[in-house]
Amino acid sequence: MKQVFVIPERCMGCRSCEIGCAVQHSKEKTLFSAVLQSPPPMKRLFVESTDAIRMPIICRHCEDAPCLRACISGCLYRDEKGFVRRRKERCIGCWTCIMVCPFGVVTRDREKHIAVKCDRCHKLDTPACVAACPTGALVLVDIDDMPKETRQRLVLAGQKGVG
Amino acid sequence: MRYLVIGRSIAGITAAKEIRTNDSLAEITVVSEEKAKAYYRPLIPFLIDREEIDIFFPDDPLEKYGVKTLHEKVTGLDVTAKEALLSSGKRLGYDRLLIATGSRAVIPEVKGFQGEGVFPLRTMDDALGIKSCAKGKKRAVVLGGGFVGTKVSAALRHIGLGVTIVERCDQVLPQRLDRGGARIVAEAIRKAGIGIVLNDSVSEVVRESGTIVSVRLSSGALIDADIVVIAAGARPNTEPFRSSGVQVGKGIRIDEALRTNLPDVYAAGDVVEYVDLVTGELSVSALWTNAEEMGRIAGRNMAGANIKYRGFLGVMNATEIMDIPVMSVGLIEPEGSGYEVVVDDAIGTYRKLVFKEDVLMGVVFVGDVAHAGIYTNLIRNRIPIGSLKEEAIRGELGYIHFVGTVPHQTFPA
Amino acid sequence: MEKSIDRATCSVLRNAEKSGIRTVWERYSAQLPQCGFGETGLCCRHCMQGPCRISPFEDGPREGVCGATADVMVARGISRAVAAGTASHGGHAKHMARTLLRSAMGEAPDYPIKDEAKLQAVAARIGVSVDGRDAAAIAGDVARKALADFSEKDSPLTWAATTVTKGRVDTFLKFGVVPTGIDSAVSESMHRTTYGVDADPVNILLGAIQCALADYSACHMATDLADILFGTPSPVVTKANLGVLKRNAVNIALHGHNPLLSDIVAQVSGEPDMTEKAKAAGAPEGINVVGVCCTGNEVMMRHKIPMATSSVSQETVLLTGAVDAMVVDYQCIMPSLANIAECYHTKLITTMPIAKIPKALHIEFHEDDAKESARRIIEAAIEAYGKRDRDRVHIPDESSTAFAGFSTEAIVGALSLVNREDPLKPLIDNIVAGNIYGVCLFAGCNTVKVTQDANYTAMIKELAKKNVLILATGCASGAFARHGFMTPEATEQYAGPGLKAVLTAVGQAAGLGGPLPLVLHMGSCVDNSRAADVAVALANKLGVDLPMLPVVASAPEPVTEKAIAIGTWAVAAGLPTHLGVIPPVLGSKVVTEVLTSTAKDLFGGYFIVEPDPVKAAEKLITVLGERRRGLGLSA
Repeated sequence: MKQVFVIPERCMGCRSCEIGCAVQHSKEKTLFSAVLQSPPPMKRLFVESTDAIRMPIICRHCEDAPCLRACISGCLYRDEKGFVRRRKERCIGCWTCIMVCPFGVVTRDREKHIAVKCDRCHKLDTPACVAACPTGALVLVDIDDMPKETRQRLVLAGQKGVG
Repeated sequence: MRYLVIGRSIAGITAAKEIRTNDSLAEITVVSEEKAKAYYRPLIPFLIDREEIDIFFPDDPLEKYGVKTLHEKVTGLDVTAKEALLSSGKRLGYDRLLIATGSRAVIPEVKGFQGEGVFPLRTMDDALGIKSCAKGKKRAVVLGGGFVGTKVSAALRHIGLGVTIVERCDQVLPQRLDRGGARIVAEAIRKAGIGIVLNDSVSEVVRESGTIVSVRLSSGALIDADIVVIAAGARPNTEPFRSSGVQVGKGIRIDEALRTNLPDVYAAGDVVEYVDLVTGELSVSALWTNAEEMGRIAGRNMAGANIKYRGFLGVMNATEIMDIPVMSVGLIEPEGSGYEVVVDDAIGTYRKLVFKEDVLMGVVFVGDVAHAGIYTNLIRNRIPIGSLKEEAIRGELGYIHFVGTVPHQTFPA
Repeated sequence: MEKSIDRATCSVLRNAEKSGIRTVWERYSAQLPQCGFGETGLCCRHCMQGPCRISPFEDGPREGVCGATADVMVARGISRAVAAGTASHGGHAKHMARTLLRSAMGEAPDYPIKDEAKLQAVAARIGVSVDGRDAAAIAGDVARKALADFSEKDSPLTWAATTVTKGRVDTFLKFGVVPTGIDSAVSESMHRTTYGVDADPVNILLGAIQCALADYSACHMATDLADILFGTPSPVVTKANLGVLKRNAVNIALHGHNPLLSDIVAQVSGEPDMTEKAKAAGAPEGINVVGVCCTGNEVMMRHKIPMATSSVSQETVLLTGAVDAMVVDYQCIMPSLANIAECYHTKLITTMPIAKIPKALHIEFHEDDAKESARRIIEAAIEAYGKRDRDRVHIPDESSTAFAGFSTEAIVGALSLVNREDPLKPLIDNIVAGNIYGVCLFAGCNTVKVTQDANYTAMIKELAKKNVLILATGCASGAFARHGFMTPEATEQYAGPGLKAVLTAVGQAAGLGGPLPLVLHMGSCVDNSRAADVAVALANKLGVDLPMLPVVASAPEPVTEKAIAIGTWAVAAGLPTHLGVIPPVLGSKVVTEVLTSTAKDLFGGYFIVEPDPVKAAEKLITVLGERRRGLGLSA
């Protein structure tokens, strides 16, 4: 199964992934219509940086997902592909998922008062963030095809594949 | 192996799921007084004002996991025979038992509480009762300004009633929110047209020919009312088990494997008393998220695992009140010395962080809750914050600061 | 997306793909996804505290380090693009003015005054006395006056003030956008958009309009002076598309912009000894010069030289394997040409000190011995011919007939055959009668972001059907020429009945024995000034200002900063101006609003952004209808 990985040293901090994500989650799914959309579409991943490192922080669709377990309204669920997704109509905006996500990748839709999170672009072969990355910092790979050293390094970097 | 789970809210359901996942041959029975399908209890206040709300579990988890359900009241245990006693007179044998009976509403002794128009809010039926009674009514008094009280007030206001909250403490959301945060929340509640009376309590519900006309407060004040909702807290449902010799403190006592003192009897959820990770003291949680976690550990342990439960955060609340997101985690009103408290109450938002030396002990966020889970993780796992204190205070902490250093441990390993 | 709708282009590109040669289309694919911040104009690199960018969506910073908002960033970006475009046309025009001056002073023997009538007309217009003076004296004064327009003056730019309507002058004065120097306008744009200067997006945009008017002046000057030195174009019949290359001739492709180079090469290539040298080198058909891009337009209309291709597909000329030398000056020259030339025997020859390309042969072109430079260039081509690998030559068959060279003077000349006393009257009468619904000027480039020529060909069919008179310049001309729209046959096939009748009447009067071509080719991109002249003449004749006229402009496949500058002055001139590619402005609501709406209130012109060509044509027709109604005409 293919998973999304981040290779931090390739990240230029350009935030193209954020834009690609927001566009993918807009009504018409093109940049120019998305820019004109009101309210604007929301991104689901976040490029963060320190002096030493910069990289997009993405939803891991954790095996033991705190958001999913904490959801008090039956909104979050794990779909057949293993992605943690929303039943939007069930969200009551209690923000419990935001309170428990250790990655900080669940956010608030201030207009609709519902939680927003990565759906791993479940309808696409390649997630929008991966497709938008110009440097290959976000990659979609089969963990088995990944060289051992890369895998070890990513694991050491506290990462877990997504998907 | 026969498993019996008493109680069918989140602790019981989660435990049943975990038992099934870890023991495919298990014979699992869940007993519950409530006849309705399993539902999300935190959603019941929305039944009052939201027509479209669906409070039931999307796929009946018990059916999905092959769990037998009985709608009966459990009245006691025969520990020797390993049987649960039911109000129908029947007995139900078990090899392992889980007490997950949760809690019930506290109803103070007040003159006039008996009779029509006074409701607790603990079950779906309570909520539906309030909804139907509120039709055509003008004024409601809500006893208690906690989460349930504020939510039911908002719902009643939303369907057009005038509402007054009467809270005996000097702030709304006592114990759940610090004073500073509570002030902002109270202001928003008042702005929405809901009255708040603090440091007072209801001494009498005044009725004329049985119908409620007003509520008298201990201070002597009289408030017009047609309907009264009691949201004065909850108490663990331990009564049916007391005669069996189970140890009870504030709730049923359990060990770190969630076992009671009785053989093969476990307990989980709001009914138990356990360690508050922040204070180190024994306490009752009454939080959905904690109940879920306890149910999961209990279920696995009952099915043969040996997972240790470290305890819960007694304060770990998130909600939205009058469109303002509110969150509080851990120690929020520290007493004594040795704490560093940082408050930032810039316009529109309120942030409070409580540190003890190098460790974040608690936070309150009002208005902006972005990245809150990062802070919760730090508090829960007592991760030394080191040089990141300033970032934490400024609200600039992100997972990026912990890449490669902090495991995101949220479940006991 | 298809690369091009042109068969010749596609067939050459298929060969390139097979050989593993990468062109602009592959490089574009490799660039995808392009940066969303750049696409929306929301990045700023104007200082070293940056780079800064603002998300076009929800959270994230709403301003750069200095406090510049999205509106400021976008306005600055577009303003600098206009400045760069102005600098380009300014450089072109200044080069021309210096050469004219040296010609007048006898220092540039290869550049005699070719069109004295035009010299006198320009001189009279700009206030240079002509009575009893010889051409050199007049030319000297015209050149000096032209050069004076580059630095800051106390008065408005001569080439702006003397070429627009009174109404425009008043409007420009009212909004304080009258330029007083071409170079100084560029300089001021750079100043006001640097760190910590202009932070009012609307003020920045007004500055951009002022600079764009300097660009207009530069374009007009370049056209005027080119006509003086090389002759005012009149209609010619030639060919366009890759099929114009010859298997048995030394093929020389002229590419770039300024006729100072290309016209001389064209002249020298016709010298008998050059032909002899080519034949001696084994090319029985001698020398075959073809044009590319705007240089292609310049030599097409003055020398009947066929046009091989236009901007975006410039590499395809080399990919035929049949080009012995490509000679370039400046602007729109892809650096990649050197790599492609290297795959063949082709010599890429750069000629300008400000435009060198590594791996190209640099033969610097000097005005004082221009023809000698040209001879060296042609000899280099003849030498390369000997190394041509005949097995790799692939010249597509396609070439279309193209009628070119409809300068303003030529159009008025043709109309005067219908009405000698009042040449514009037939045009106006037919606009009034509705036989001509309106006029659309197509300008701009081809872009890799649109299937080549797709927008042009779709739009022209819609507009012609509705009796809109079509003018074209620059690479728009290349597109129409390639697809046979610059022919009387196209008029027969696509023009609505009214337009067909008018074009036929004028064509008959001009002795063509049939209609004028559907598209009137007005020249290169600097020659947009010719179209402006037609509009100004119409407005003056009608006694109204430009924003009243049923005249629109369209750049359906724009690329360059020059296109942005031209589009901006077209808007300032009062023309609704269509863009078929979304410019990097959508990141700012204010800038978008000003360009597409507020500008209409201030200047009468405004941008219409519409990537769909059929919808774009509909919008332009709607606008023409509005303007017709405004004049009390049937719509």
